[in-house]
Amino acid sequence: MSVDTAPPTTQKPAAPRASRILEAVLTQRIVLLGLLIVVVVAVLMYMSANGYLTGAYDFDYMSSTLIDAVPLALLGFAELVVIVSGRGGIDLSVGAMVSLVGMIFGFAYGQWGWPLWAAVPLALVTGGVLGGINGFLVARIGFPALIATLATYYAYKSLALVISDQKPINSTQIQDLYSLTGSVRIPLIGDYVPDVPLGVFTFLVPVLVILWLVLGRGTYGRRLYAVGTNDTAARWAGLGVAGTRMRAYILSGVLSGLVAVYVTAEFASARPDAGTSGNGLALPAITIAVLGGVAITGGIGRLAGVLLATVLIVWLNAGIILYFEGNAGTQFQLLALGVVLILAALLNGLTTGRFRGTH
Amino acid sequence: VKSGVTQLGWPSQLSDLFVGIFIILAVGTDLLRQRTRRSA
Repeated sequence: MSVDTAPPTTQKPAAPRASRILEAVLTQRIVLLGLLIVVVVAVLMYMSANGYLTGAYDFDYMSSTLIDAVPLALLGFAELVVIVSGRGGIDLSVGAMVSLVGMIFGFAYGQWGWPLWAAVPLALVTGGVLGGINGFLVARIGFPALIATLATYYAYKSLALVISDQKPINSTQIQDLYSLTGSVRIPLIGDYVPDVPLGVFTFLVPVLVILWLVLGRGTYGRRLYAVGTNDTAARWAGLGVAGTRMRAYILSGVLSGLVAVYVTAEFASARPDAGTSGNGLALPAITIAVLGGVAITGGIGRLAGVLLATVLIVWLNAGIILYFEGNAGTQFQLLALGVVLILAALLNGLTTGRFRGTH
Repeated sequence: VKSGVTQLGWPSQLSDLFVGIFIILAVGTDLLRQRTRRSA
């Protein structure tokens, strides 16, 4: 007579490998974005090799398009910070801040003769003040972020046009700034990899490292995520909810100020519509943040997701431009941006319902 | 607002600044009214 002494198992049977991979792709936004980048690049390279594109879609071209990724990624980080802060956080005024700060930077450096080491901090401080106005309205007074930043969008955009008399500043000093955004050969491995826009190293990487330290390793980051997840619980835990949220908007303004300097250098001109012409910079930045896995409800979002989403959008747009003759591609870029945003929102809904969210 | 700005001889782009200020005033008044009603 035998007695079964094995303890009753309480573990669920292991899910099939395919199911686990699908769950990882759907719930790990970084995995999904990495996969999408590989697919998009592979398809576009195949089309380029078979003559479907009007130009070569190769690594040199992809690397050169990263010049557009720098401002988008920085503004995507700005949106990440304010959206994570919760209570409907969003910043529609980033593009207008880029325009206004760009003009003030242009006046200081290009007309008043300020040295670069003084003009850049002026731009950052001005951006911080403009972001602080947003933060004061949202965090201290209690305005809905959508309304407050819409109002300041109008105000900043108007001020940029009025103070400049709608004329760009493109003095010699400003034109010389273009050298900040040129492509450079990477030491040691430069023979094997394409030249990379200098802005990636002078603007994007330093900001990424600082933000990673602030949000991922510092106490402010923990407070921000706590406030964004549940501000009532954060208040009861003794965290300064309004101050934490206000600093998120100030940080968004500082990042916009940095983008203003970059855009001025990129175009060798301080333009009063630099961040607001066409569809402006705010909507692509919000799209990139949402695509990068930032939950619009607050409290969730990672820098790596925003960075990968930026690369995906920039390389997708670069391929669309090559598919069409003339300027027709720019219209389809907007369509692609809209489709990607809708798919990202649908995916967020699907993963929230089935797998308890995206990580 | 736009025609007023034009008639005053100010730059037409200034109208957007007033639009922004009016949005803040309108929503701020609304918030104030809600808070007054809640505290009453």
